[in-house]
Amino acid sequence: MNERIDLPAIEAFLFKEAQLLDERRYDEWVDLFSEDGVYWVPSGQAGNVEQSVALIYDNVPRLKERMLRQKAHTFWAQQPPTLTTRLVSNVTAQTTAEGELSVDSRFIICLLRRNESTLLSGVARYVLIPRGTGFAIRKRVIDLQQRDQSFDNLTFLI
Amino acid sequence: MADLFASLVQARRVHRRAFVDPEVFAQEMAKIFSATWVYLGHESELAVPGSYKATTMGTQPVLLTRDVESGRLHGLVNACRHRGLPLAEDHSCGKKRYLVCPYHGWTFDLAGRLVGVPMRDRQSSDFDESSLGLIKIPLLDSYRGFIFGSLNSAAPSLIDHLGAASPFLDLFADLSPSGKIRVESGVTKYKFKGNWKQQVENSMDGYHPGLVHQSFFEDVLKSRIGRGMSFIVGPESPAKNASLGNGHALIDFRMFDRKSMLGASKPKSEIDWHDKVRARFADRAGYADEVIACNGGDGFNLLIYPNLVLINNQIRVIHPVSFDSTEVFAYPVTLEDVAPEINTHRLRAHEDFYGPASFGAPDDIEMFQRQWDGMLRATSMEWLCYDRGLDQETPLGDVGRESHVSDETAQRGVWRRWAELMAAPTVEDVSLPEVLV
Repeated sequence: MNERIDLPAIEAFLFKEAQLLDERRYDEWVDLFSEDGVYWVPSGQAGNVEQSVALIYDNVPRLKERMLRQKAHTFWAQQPPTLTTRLVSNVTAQTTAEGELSVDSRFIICLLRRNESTLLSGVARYVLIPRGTGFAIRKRVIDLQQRDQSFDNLTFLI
Repeated sequence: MADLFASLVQARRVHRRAFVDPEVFAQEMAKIFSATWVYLGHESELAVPGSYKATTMGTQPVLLTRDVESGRLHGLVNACRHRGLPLAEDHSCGKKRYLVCPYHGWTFDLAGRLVGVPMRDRQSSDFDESSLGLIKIPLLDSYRGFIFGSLNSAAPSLIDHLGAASPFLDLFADLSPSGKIRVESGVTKYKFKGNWKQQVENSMDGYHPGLVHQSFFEDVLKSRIGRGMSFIVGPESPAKNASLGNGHALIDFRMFDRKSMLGASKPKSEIDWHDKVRARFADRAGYADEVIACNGGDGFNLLIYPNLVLINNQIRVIHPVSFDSTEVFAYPVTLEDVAPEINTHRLRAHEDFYGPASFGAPDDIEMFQRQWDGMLRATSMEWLCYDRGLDQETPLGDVGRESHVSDETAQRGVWRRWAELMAAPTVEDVSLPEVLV
């Protein structure tokens, strides 16, 4: 174990992130990313993202476009919105050769839209870098257990 | 009964029962999905002998295979001849030498022959393996790598069925410098509570984007490129909505050159790609430019009735699940013999608008759900209106018609075909090798 890793601080960061998403404070959430940050939700296709279609593969400019849609009055797929409650657990962290933090967690998201409840679950893999007194997200990969299934609506932030 | 179905479709209106009646759905499986040609897959998905792909014809599970011995393609019903279990999971694919039923171990090769029966000597003296191969899809054919099958051995040839739609399959495939496209980068799957015909119609609907996709065409694109793009379906748009005969249909955007409108410069990899396309068609004046005009995503939307749509970089396959449940598989297509970044860009462009987390499709799906809710419950609202452009259509080719992009010429062509097929006498699903009495 690397003694420099402050696991409670990392957990607090992930819990805060989950709170921002559940409370739909998206602008604050986007600000957690580094300028070169990437948000990737792979599809059922194995392989690298250059050759495999993803459910979501956003850089920060595209994430900001996603936020524009969240604010648009014709964003039909979020009228009514998908309400989310997420649990984040089983957090582990390692320091990489580049001095970044490689962080894994497990998540369960309870979804509610038009009186229908569903669950999503999986592993969230982060690359975090130090920023100020905390962290910035350089990479956020959401590996859904349901990644090969058909979905009707994943327009909330997973 | 057949008359009843035909009466649900009139010149300018369609009865809600055509969408919401479970009996209509059951008849569609027999009279449409078991009677005409159905898209099953692309040859690049079965490039290697020993490949298989499990898909559906309507609700029926089927297999496409390329056998190990001859390397030929086969279309088979995905059900063991002993107790009927599927031999591969729906929508799975991979490589196998044999298809083995997990229940009692009956074993079939990829040509569908029954080659193994555990404890064979307990079968009766009449038992004949040669009559117990997997049921064959009677007609299997492909055009430019697109594989279609028909359960109706009396169906017209595939090329006759495709008719005026086949030149658009050519344009789609000829974007690749080799003339061959590839389906190898995965699939975006979505589903909705609603009827398969909603997705058919929506794929050819040039009336909805200005409102349903306003958050993309205006809000997002204004921030990305400095201007909205809703005008491509606006009142002054030269784009067309067309029926092509046999239910096939088109939205034609080829008159827009999006890149020149945006003033975007073409990277070297794109110039190289287009040069290769031009070299391949050096002897066909103007054709290469016609092909290249389809680049960039504003070429055309093509429906090959009943279950195949080509849009942008995408092969879209519509799977009816039940009268109120539909799955849609959108496969991004890559090109042979181009720089890797061209294909990566095609994947990212696909994710931009298609799939359940994209900036486009989820708003369509939301409309499908709301439409379903309304049609299902509002029983007093019986007829849906289909009259846009009815008085302003012009002929297109021998059997087609075209009109303004926002018109409903394509939809009326789809419904004419639907009524024609539903009025026909029911065809036998599949002729069995023998009838056991």
